[in-house]
Parts: sequence; structure tokens; C-alpha cells
Amino acid sequence: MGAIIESISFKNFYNYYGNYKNNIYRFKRGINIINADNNMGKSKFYNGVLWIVQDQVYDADLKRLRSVDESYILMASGKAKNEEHKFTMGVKIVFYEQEIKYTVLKEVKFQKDNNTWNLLPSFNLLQTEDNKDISILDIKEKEKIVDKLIPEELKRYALLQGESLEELVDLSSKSGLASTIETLVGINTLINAYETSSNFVKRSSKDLADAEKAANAENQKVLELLQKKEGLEKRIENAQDCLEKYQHELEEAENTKQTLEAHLMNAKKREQYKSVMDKLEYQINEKKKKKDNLEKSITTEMFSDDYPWLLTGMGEYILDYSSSRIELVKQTVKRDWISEAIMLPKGSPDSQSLREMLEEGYCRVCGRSAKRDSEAWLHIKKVLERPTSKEENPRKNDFSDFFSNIQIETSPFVQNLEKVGEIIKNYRQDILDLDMQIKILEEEKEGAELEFINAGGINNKDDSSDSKTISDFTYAGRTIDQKTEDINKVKENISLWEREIKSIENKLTDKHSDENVNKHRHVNSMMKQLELLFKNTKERIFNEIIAALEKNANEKYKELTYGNLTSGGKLEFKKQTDGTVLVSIRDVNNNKITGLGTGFQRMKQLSIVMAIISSKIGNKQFDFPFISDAPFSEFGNNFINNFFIVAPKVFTQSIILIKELYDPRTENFLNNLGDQILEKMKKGDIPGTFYVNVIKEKADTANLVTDNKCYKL
Amino acid sequence: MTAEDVFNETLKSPELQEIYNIPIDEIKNESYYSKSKHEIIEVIRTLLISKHNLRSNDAIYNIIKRHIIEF
Repeated sequence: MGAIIESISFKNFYNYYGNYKNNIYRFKRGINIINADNNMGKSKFYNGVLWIVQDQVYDADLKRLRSVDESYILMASGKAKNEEHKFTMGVKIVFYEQEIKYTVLKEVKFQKDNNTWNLLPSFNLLQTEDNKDISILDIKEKEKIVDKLIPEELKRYALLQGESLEELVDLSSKSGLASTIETLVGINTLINAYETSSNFVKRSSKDLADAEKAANAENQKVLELLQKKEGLEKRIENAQDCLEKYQHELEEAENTKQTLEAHLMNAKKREQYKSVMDKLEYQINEKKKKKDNLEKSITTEMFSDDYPWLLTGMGEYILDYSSSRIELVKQTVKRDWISEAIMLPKGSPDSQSLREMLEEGYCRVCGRSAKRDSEAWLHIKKVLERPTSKEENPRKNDFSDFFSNIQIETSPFVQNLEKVGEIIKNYRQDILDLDMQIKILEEEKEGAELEFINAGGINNKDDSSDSKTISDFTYAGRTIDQKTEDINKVKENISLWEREIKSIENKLTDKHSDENVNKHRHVNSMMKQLELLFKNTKERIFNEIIAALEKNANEKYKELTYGNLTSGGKLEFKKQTDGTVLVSIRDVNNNKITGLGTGFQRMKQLSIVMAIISSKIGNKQFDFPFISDAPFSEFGNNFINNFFIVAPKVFTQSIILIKELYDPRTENFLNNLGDQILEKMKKGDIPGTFYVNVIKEKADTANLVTDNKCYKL
Repeated sequence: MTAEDVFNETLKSPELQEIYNIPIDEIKNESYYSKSKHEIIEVIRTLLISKHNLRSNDAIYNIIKRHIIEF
């Protein structure tokens, strides 16, 4: 089982101008890399595969899939359309399935008439077995064979384009993973067998009832029992529909509750951070007020009675004032003395001696007579009576009092001058301290705001959505209780009616032993057993896969993220009561991690898919080609390298269209990682092939022609 | 999971021993490719092979019914 692509080739398809042999890619098991820069044919290649398997192409402008019927003109090579009036566009895929070779060829013949293209599409399929070619003609048969290349249910896992990797497994729905498991593990064969057996139970029950009716056409009591049994069976059928509906509603309510629970947890967090923010805001305002008051007090402090700040820096002037005052006094005294008083030379007689000399009429200085009224006597008298006293000088007190008063008045301030400096210094420190405290509080508030926003809060702190969350959460809880009760009631009823049916069956068995009825009863019993066996087997396999999934997925996740500096956490799988599974990523402390980068999210998806494939019964590989266009656009080199090592263990054959290994500046158009991967492939460490797309010559998009170089086959 | 895988997995059901009293050694020797002497196993096999061969449900039902009646 499973398919392997041998080759894909193109003819005048988008950039792939020319014949099939000029545009051929041969592939092997393992990884097949097509490395190409933008606009060098990766998406065109991918579209070739889409055309073959589902008659669609991806329209990059519309960002959606389009039917090929609407796109043929766009799909044809621009160069072919410009240079030729008649040409064929086509894609050919050669693949093997169970040793049978199939060649699928989809083509469109283009012919230009009066500037209008006439198009003639065709679809050919050749089956080659034991060297014999058989052309398959029936369209349904052809489609069935193409489905063998990639079965319908596997297309979403086998054909990936960039961001579709993020939607590989629907983890948002509880049944999403279950559906992925059923598809990837190929449990569909078993599900199909179970559904068929269920259908056979119904048919055999009806056959049995018909046989019983026929055998007891005359027996009114038996007919009544049969009618009652039919009625009960109908009731069970209706109840089962009801049960399915209730279970669906219950699942929806549980999903809602879970989503809201996370939101509610955040609502509590938001409440907590909001309270912190309010408290911090109050503290900040208080500090700001205090600072404001301090700043306002400057005027008062300037003219304070005790320590006026106005005197700041006056110390120097006071010293200047003192020395100036002293100098002024000195100068005043000196000037008075020089201009008014008669100065006697050193050793001159004092006033008393001069008086005695006048009385004696004798000059003791020169030792001569100085008779009364003589010239000498008058000279001594003049010396005695010379002006000497300050009080007698009319200008002697002119600024002394003024300056003395200043000194007296200012002396208390002069004493406090040093203290003013200290007070101002403390004031400044207080302001700085307050600034620092405000800054710290604002940072704390910013942190709380960030946590508030991280918990889903919005800047305006409107908590009306939180009220809605709480009310929706309560409603979901009530719905869960109600639906659980409804389900239990329906189950009780079904069980009761089944017991009644059993009792009727026993009565019917006792009533007659018609051979035909017994045969039908036996068939019905065997069908019921068959149904039970398939049902239990299906549940057992599902449970075994779930049990192994967490371990396998974490192994793959670890392998894919190996060597990465950031930890991507650990995948946790939680089985729900209804048998489905929820997946989350936990950190080392078992806290749920959200907001991981796109690369990690894609790796998580790939890990789950790889783990499910690895949990398969029988061949633990994906048996069909895995074709991916630009899957690594969000991956770092480390992820890419890891993928190339891990993927061949899981995917039998993958074709990866990638630009991350491309470098137009190098001779071989490969960057370092490209060279490393190629080297590993050449050594056989990574199985597969390696191609690089190149542009033959520079041209505009419409006339672009892509060529390929095969580095490893 | 192939039809043969489903057959082998279904044989692991404990009901085969508990309800049908089929010895484990005999279950181990059962093959998808050969007829079983146990009715229920033969019914399982017939259903899976017929499904694999893309027989219609009507046809499979009648084949199984005939098998059971003839067994």
C-alpha cells in the first residue's frame, strides 16, 4: 500500500517552458529537495501536482484555490504564448502503487485563432504492469487511480503550502485531533468495517422481524410482541439521534467553557493587576503631591525668619562686608587725624610736662628759658592746646553707627548661614528621593499594566467584557449540567428499551422454533457480535495511540527543535471524558505556554502529525508523497536542518520546495546550510534527491524560463 | 492500516476467548488469507476481504448471511 512518485515533468507550464524531457524531476524515497529563489517555479511546481490530483491551482493573487478550467491561460508559459500560435501545456506524473506503474498526463492544447486562444484539455492515464501498457479510458477509473497517488482524506496532510502547516491538526476542536488520528493511522478501514457491521445489525434485525412475522401470521400475541419490539427499536433509533445531538451540544458547551475558563483565569488576573495598578497610581499621586508641596514651599523658605534661603551664597559677602567695614573705620580715623590733629614727633613731652614747662617758663626739650609770653613760651602753649580729642571732631561718627547697626541686625542670620546650606541640601535630596520613588512606582505600575494587557486587558481598563465572560462561563456550565442530565436520561431510556427488547426476544424464542426464524436470529446475533468486536477494536487502537502519542510527539518535537536556544516547552495530551484529546504546550513548571513563535507552532503541528504516523499499526510511515511548498518560511536554519534529518523516518517520500538553501551569489546557488544538506545527501546520511532551479536568462515575469540542475540523484 | 491489519487487530479482542471460547493458540494461527474453522473469525475475514475488494454492502451482507447459515 502507498504510492511513490518516480518523476514529475512539465511542458510549457508557467515558467517551465519547453518539452517534458527539458523539465523533468526524478524522485526517490526520502527527501527530495527543490531549492529555488522567489519566482523560480516552486509554487508553479506545487500547482502542477494540484492540477493532477484535484484539478485546481493556487492563485497567489486571490490567495485561494481555483479550478483549472478558469486558470488554463494563466497556467500556460508566457514565452510559449508569446512565441507560438499552437502549443501544448501539460503536467506528467509517473508513480508506483503496489508495483504497478501509472503515468498520469493532464494537458491542454492551445491554438490561436483571430487573437483568441482555443483550448482543448485532455486527461490520459497509462497503467504499466509486467511491461504491458494499458491505457485507462474510463474517467471514473482514472480518478480512482489518481486517488491512489494521494487519497482524498490524506490530501490535507500530504499537500502543504506555507502557513497551512499551522492548520494541519485542528487543535482548537476537541474532535480535531481524533479526526487526524483516524485519518493518518488509517483507522478508516476499521471504522468502515464497524459502520458496515452496524448497518448489517439493522438489516438482520429487520430480516429477523420479517421472518418472525411470516412464521406467526396467525399468532396475534406474537405479532403484538413483534410490533412492540419494532416500536422500541424505533424509539431507540430516535433516542440515539437525540443522544448524538446532545453529545454535540455538550462538546460545544465544554469547548466554550474551557475557552472561557482560560479567559476567566485571566479575568481574575486582570482584576488582581488592576487593583495593583490602582494602588500604585494612588501612591504615585501622593508622592507627586508631596513633591508639589515641597516645590511650592520654596517662596516661604526664601524669606524664612530663621533660615532664609535668600542668604544662600552670602557667606562670602559677609566676610567681604566685615573686612570692608574694618578698613573703612581705619581709613576714617586716619584721615581725621591727619587733617585736624597736630602730630608730635616720637619722644615729645606729654601734656602734663608741657603744662609744667609753661609754669616754670623753661623748655625741657631744648634746655632754654621760655619766659611767659615769650615766643618760646607761646610755642609750648600752642603745642599743649593742639586739637587731640575725637569728640571735638565734627565728622568722627559718620558711618560707624550705620554699619554697626547692620552688623547687630544681621548677626543672627550670619550665625544660621551655614545651616541654610544644609537645609537646602536636604531639600534637594528630598526632591531627588521623591523623584526616584515616583520613578520606581511608575515602573512597577508599567509592569502591572503589561501583565494586565497580557492577561487580555485593554488600555482603558474597561472590564465589561470580563462581566460577559463570567456570565457566558456560568451559562456554559449550566448547559453542560443540563446536557449531561439529558444524555444520562436518554441512555437510561435506551438501556431500559434494550432490556425490554431482550425480554421480548426471549419470549419470542420460547414461543416457537421455526427453523427460518432461528437462522435469522442466529444471523442477527452474529452481526451484533461482529459490530461489538469492531467497535471494541476501534476503541482499543484509538486508546493505544493516544497513550503513546504524548511520548512520541515529544520525541519528535525534541528532535525537530534540537539545538534551538529557546525552549519550545513540552507537549501535553489530555484525554477528555468523551474520548477526544486536548493538546497544550507546557513549560518546565507545567504552566501552559502561549504565544510561542510561528516556527514553534508549526513544529508542534508537525510533531503531532509525525507522532500519529509513528503510532500507526503496521508500517509506521506516511505511505504517500508529502509535498510541501515553502513550509519553512518561519523556520530558522536549526529547524530546517532537524526537519531534513527527522522527516525521512516518518515520510516515505517527501518533496520539499524551499528557498531557504538558496544563495544567488554563490556558484552553485547554495548557501552554507544548502551545502551542508547536499553533503549529507551525497554521503547518504539523508536519503533523497537535490535540485536547484535556475533562471536561464533575465526576463520579465511573463517570459521567465526556469531550468533545473540536479545535484544529487 | 490495511484490511489484514484490521483482521489481526480484531483477533486480539478478548471477547473471542471469553464469549466464543476460542483458545489463544488457535487465534494466533489464524490468517487473513486462509479460511477459519471458527464461525465468527470467518465472518470477520469475509467482511474485510469483501470490503477490500470493493464489493457492495448488499453483496457483502448476502455473502455473510449465507456463510452464517451454511456454517
